[in-house]
Amino acid sequence: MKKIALFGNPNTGKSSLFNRLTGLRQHVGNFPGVTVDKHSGTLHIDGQTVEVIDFPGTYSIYPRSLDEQVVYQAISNSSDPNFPDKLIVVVDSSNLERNLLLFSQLYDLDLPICLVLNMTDVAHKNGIVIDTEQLQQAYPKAAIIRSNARIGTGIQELKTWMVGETEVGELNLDAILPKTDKEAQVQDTNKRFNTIKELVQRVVQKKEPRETNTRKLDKWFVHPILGYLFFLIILLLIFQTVFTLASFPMDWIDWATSSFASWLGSVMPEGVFTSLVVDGIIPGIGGVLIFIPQIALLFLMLSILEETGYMARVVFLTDRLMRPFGLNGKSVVPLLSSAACAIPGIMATRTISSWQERLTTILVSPLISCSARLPVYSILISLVIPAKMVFGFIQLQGLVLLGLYLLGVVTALLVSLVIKQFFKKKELSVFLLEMPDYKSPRWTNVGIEVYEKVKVFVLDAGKIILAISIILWALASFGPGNKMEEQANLVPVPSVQTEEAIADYESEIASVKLENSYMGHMGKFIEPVIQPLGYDWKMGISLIASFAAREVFVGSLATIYSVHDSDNNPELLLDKMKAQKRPDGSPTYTLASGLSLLVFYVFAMQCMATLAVVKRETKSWKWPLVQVGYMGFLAYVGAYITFILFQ
Amino acid sequence: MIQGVLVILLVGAAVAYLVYLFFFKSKKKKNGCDKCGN
Repeated sequence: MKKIALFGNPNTGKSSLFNRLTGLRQHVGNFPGVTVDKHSGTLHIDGQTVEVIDFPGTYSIYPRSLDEQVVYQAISNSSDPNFPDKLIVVVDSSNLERNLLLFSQLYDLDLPICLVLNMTDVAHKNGIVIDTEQLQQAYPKAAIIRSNARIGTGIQELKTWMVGETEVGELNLDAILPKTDKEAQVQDTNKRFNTIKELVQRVVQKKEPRETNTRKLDKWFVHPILGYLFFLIILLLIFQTVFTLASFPMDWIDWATSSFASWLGSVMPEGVFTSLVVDGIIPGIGGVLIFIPQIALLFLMLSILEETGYMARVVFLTDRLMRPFGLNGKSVVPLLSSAACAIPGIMATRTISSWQERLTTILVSPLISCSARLPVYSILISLVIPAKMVFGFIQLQGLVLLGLYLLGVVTALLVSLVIKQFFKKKELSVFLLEMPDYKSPRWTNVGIEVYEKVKVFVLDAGKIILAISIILWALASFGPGNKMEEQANLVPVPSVQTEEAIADYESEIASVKLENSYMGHMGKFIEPVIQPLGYDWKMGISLIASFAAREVFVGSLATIYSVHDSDNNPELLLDKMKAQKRPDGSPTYTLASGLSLLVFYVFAMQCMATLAVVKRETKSWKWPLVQVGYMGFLAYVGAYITFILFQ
Repeated sequence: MIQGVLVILLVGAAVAYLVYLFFFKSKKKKNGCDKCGN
């Protein structure tokens, strides 16, 4: 099968062309050695099948970032699995001078090459006319095609070239300078730019530009004050959508999975496998599906912003604010999205081209308090913070909640600063920003982006989440020896068989079973470690169980304290928690232990779904483990200090 | 009995999958030299 590579500068409409060519026949894989997704797709033209590989956008073949390495790696070695038979270089017709550098470098390799003059509509609007005949004379071996990938112009011509006969040249490796010889690369680049400048003067005619809509809009959108205001409004809109609009389909998914589980439980024969399906696998699948609305909505919003060209303005506005912390202008959206859920936030870091800045954003995103922490915050705040007013008009409980969110944000920025010191400029972070013209989004691109993101999450992270759910179910359902059954048998059967008494009896059995399960033993095992934080083994069990998802903390406490109706009547659980005593008779939940637990949940990496996504995005277990380690350390030390201060 | 066997198989598969991902899968991916590009 013929391999055809798509190269081009960022913002040249390369992805639009790729989507136009391959549609949904795309596949996301890996480029070897680096954490870059390889987008490839197949298409059938006149009975021939060709594979198109969409390489990351780059300005030159000499890599500036780790991501750009894949271009150099693929073209400098004919035995590389991604070495192409033909090259397509997509250029922005309205900015030929800068775009031709990459083309001229690739042209000199002597491989069959096609120059696609894309975005002809933008060039036309800007009064740019390109003399393709003269351009052809300058590059006689290349095919030159005019195209507008957004509406499909030139696609048929390109397809014909893709399968047509071309002179097969010998790879001219002399055209590529050694990767390490930076000085020679700079000299070569300058020389090429001089030639290109002369060429562009001959082939490009430009009328005096009139004030375009983009310029008019930019007067507002990148204004030093109003620009930030517009950005805040747009962010608020995104945040509200992800947070509120997603809650409806999330509730439906929650309802559908739990109803399906109950129905299955009633029709399947009673037994351990039924329990695995009903209490382990279906909630596990539900735990994957429930994130889809948030992921889809966030990426719908983000790809609309990217498609319209507004995202470049966001980066321009926020880059200066984020850079001192080792972050990037593009880190703002992932970090803010993490306030709804870290998973779509982390997946949104793909737009950050610097690997170090992207990794820093990934590592600190889970420190921003997500919506799953809210039930934990809410129950603990109601438990230990008195409902009184401060200064007569501020509610103390609300103030504590705000404090927890701020604690997460400040810590995320501080940790970024620390990570910045560790990296010490291994990779040159150049702030090279292009402001594309504003344009209406191409909905096919938006749709494909949303579909790809959801697919990657469900197929890659979903499998890990499901596997961990099954293991957690096993730990909570089995225990050493027959102790679980023996202890459960000791629970006195209610003398009066009312509905309430039976429900209480079943809750008590569930509590005793959990206490004697492997998870219960683990809770007791870690008790000496968590005792200095003011916790007992019952809280220990909830901490372990909530590794599946933070909100499980409340549910598992309800099981341990034998509360059978905590969903409909949270007061019951609160009363039980208030009544808990330590062996010395003092209350278990005090201001000190409650605040300590709150601080623990601000910092701890209690979310397997996030870990699975970090593994997927960094393509290694190293970074999720680093995250568990440093966040666990922060959680432990933070909770310990809080407990000591308030004891 | 059958339910027990199915549970053992599924829990075993979950553990094996995570062990595979953790210890084996990520080591296979690197097959290029970052320095020379080959």
